Amino acid sequence: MATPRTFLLVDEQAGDPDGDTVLRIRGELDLSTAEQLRAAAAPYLTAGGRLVLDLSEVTFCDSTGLAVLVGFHKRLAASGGGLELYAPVQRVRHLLHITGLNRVFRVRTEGEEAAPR
Amino acid sequence: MPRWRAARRALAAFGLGMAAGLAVSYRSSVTASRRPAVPQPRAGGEAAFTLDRVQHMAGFATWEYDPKTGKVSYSRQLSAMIGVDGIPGNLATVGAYVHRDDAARVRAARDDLVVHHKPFTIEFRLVCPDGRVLDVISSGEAVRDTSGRLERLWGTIHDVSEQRAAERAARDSARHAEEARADLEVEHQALQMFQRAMLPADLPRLGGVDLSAVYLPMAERIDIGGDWYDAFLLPDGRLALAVGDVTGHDLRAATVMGQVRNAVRAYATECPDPGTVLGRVNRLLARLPDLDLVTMIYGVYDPVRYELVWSNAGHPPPLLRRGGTVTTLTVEGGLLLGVVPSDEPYPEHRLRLGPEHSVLWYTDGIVDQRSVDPDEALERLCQAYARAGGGAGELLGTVSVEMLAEGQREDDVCLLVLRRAAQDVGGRPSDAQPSDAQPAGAQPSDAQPVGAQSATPARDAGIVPVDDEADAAAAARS
Repeated sequence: MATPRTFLLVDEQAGDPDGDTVLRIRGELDLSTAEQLRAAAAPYLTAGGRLVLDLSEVTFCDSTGLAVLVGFHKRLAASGGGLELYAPVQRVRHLLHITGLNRVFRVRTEGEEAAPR
Repeated sequence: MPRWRAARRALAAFGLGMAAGLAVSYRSSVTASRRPAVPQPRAGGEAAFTLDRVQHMAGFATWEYDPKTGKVSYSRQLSAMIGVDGIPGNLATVGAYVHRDDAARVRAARDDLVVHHKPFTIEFRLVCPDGRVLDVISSGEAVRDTSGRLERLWGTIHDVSEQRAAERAARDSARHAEEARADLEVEHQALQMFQRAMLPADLPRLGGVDLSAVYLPMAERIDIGGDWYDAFLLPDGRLALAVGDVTGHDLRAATVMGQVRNAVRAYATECPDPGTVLGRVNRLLARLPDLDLVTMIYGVYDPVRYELVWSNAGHPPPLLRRGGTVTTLTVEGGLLLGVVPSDEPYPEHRLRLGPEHSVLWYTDGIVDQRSVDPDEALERLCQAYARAGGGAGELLGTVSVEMLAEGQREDDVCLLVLRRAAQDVGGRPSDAQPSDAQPAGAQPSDAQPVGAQSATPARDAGIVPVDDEADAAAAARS
């Protein structure tokens, strides 16, 4: 069996009320799509920037996907910015919880207001 | 006309091997298109034009030799095919275009037709003045009148270049795919050998300790996982255990795995405390220029006290089996390794194994498949482990079979079972005889988790520290 081919769509949304860039991601974030997300988000990983990833329609995330998110976080955090994950599904929240990354990223559930800076 | 004379005349007319007598005018401008000349209406009338169109579309030309006149005539499509303005019928012509490597075969076929009237169908190449090489299939036959006398020789030349090019491309790509597959297979085998070299060849043997571990690679997958387990004896006679998973599925992941495994062994020899070892591995990884993430459980088992001390760095929770009851040891863990270089704490947890109690450490491949809810998969794992029986090897076998029987696994899996044997066997690694040790052969009883060293409270209701029996029971599953 070959590595399952999965799909991932990345849309730029209008900025959230704080003016941060929001990327809405749909599909599965894994070995075969990680590079796609990395490329799509690259323009937004600016010094001091803040990036919100809307994960509400990401149904699966593996360790390679997590590594991409950690990479974004490190890039942004190094320059005083940050990464925020919006509305990850239970499965992804579970993974963030086990790995402890829910304490590293700002994770916002659906309907929750953006956390104060 | 005697037959030999007719034949000689015909041979001369076809002109094979007689390029010196060639007199054709080349097109002044050569285009790159496959069929350079689209037929235009000519004096021959609508029927001839239609024939030209059909021949042009089919890449098909005809020729004819009239023994009475000694002339060869070619359909216009042949000159279009070759890319010349016209092919004079009375001179050595098409033979001059035959590829030199094919000339002998073509000549032999032509001779057989002319001399013996033996029909032929052969494939050969024509080299056009503009450098194109055409693959053609040519046929020839003798046409006789009703009395059986030779009337003419007639044949076709069919341009099959595109078809042959497509076939060659298909063969080439098939060959390249085969070569690429072979390359990948070699790489895969190298990676697997590397990975296996990183796993301990033998597990340490200790009295009273029943230990079993397995690495289940994905045979169908060309890459490898960064999963590993390790078990080794510490200088103080205790047993160090590790199960971990490196992000990625390539040589780099395998290399990082090797580094981490060796680092753990080195650090553990200096100071085996799980919190210390994981903290040092974290700093090591976070300082590497590339982002390498590792989840890992590392622990130390004291076979005298039956006490396991462990820390979890972002790894799926271990399971504790007491009799037929399995508990998920969802404890306060530390962050997965390699994210932050700061002194990330890795809280230590302790539990005491009763006779025949065991713990199962695993990597997420066994519960993490995209078609299955991970909570349900964990529940299934608990049930399989609870139903299993026997020694560590049997436990591990049952769990592997039950979990991997259905559905397609997506990742490599490592499993490790540490079980306290029913009866202590052999010598003890330490002279210390703790007063609260279970006597050999005691009936299975509940594990006695002792207080966790770390006072860090659980930050989340979902995390239950195993620092007293009530909490362990709260997390118990069956």
